[in-house]
Amino acid sequence: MEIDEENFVGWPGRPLKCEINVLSKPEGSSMFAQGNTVVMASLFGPHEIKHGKIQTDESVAFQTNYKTKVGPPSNEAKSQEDLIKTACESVLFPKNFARHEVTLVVQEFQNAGGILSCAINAGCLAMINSGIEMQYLVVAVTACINTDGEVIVDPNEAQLKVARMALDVAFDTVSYNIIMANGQGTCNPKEYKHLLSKCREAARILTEYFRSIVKKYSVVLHIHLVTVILNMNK
Amino acid sequence: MTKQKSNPKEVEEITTCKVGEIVLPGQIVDAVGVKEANKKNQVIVGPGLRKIGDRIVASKCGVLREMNGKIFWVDALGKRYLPARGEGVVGIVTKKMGDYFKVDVRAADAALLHFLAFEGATKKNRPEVNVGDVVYGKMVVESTDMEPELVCINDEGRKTNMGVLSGGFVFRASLHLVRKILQRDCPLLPSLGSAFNYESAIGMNGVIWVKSQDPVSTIAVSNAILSAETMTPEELTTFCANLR
Repeated sequence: MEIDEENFVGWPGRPLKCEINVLSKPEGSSMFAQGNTVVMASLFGPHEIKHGKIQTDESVAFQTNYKTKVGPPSNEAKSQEDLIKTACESVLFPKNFARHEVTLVVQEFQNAGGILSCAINAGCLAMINSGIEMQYLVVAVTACINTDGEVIVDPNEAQLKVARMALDVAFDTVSYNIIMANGQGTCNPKEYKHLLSKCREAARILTEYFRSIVKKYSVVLHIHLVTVILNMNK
Repeated sequence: MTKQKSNPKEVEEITTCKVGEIVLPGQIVDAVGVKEANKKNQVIVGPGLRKIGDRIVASKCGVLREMNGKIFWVDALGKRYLPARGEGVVGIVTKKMGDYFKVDVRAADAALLHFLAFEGATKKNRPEVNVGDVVYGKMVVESTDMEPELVCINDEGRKTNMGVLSGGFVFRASLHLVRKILQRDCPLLPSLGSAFNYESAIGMNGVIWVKSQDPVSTIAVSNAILSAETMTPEELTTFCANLR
């Protein structure tokens, strides 16, 4: 199953590329590229956990594992992992998995800026592929303000380097509330609000992109009764 | 971590959706049929849909389906089995625990199989089931909080076609593939049957058991079933026509 839609209609950022169901072992897997930033995510579970690990509060046993391209996991990777976990964990129904555990593994392939939002989007697509029950989808967008005060949605590496302020923000797809936000740099509150509204606009387009992916693979789901009967008669 | 449940007042009506169209999680399903059936309190929601308040909300990505104007569900991709009452599954016995056998059915929890749940089994006449055996049985699920149970007899105590499967070849497929080939109109199994001599047990949990006289046809049948996963209805029809 391969989906390749360069420059999805209305998307202001770099070209989007996506493939789901790439791995056979995990319950859900996806490969997602925004420009030259490429990430692969796979979802394992829900599976049984040992008694000692059962959570007492109403939270899901959700684990995230972020793997960098080279070397042992750094502190930065650990913080990325926590942010991905925050964004993707909130999607699940907490009560469903009182005794079960879900693991999301994110592998970085290429980092050309905006890896965090790319990883969250890939994680969401892996969850879509696994058919796990979700409250809503999560979409993440990276945007930055450059030295001229212009907002760039989904910037590349060079644009990020000279940016005054960069923001990664994840939204839910029902009311487009913020689930996770991570910013670096300085800007005034007015600029921040503008930046956020641009991200929100882009998030809506990204949701439509996800919908188009679901639509593409849904072709193989069902036998269309009429067509089959007609073809059999031929 | 805050686990907020979105307030119904804040929820935006995204789009109106029809049966046969794509729904995304959190989307309010307000297709004409659903709304009418919901008003009369006659709606039955299947997998992928949830009743939240007086609204029906999707919880999976997929295609909205409808049956008899009352039953609605979402057709989605999936590999992990969610036990449901009355579904026939193929499982592998992993452990003997006193009166029970633990059976791996690819769900989050292993299913329990009591030794009396076989035809003609009594306390003195125990059925012969060993670790590693493949069984075909029906799911009995009382509560989602408990382990599912498996039985190999029907209500009248007959085994019908259930029980331990001897010999053969077991492989795993995705749930959407199994649902697809088990549809009444799917031409795959009838045309495979006319081309090869084989027995098969197809579990709703995505485990398939195939047995035939020689390895060649076993491999051919299993490959044919697996290759049907990514086929569109048209491709599948031509594929089946070539088999005959």
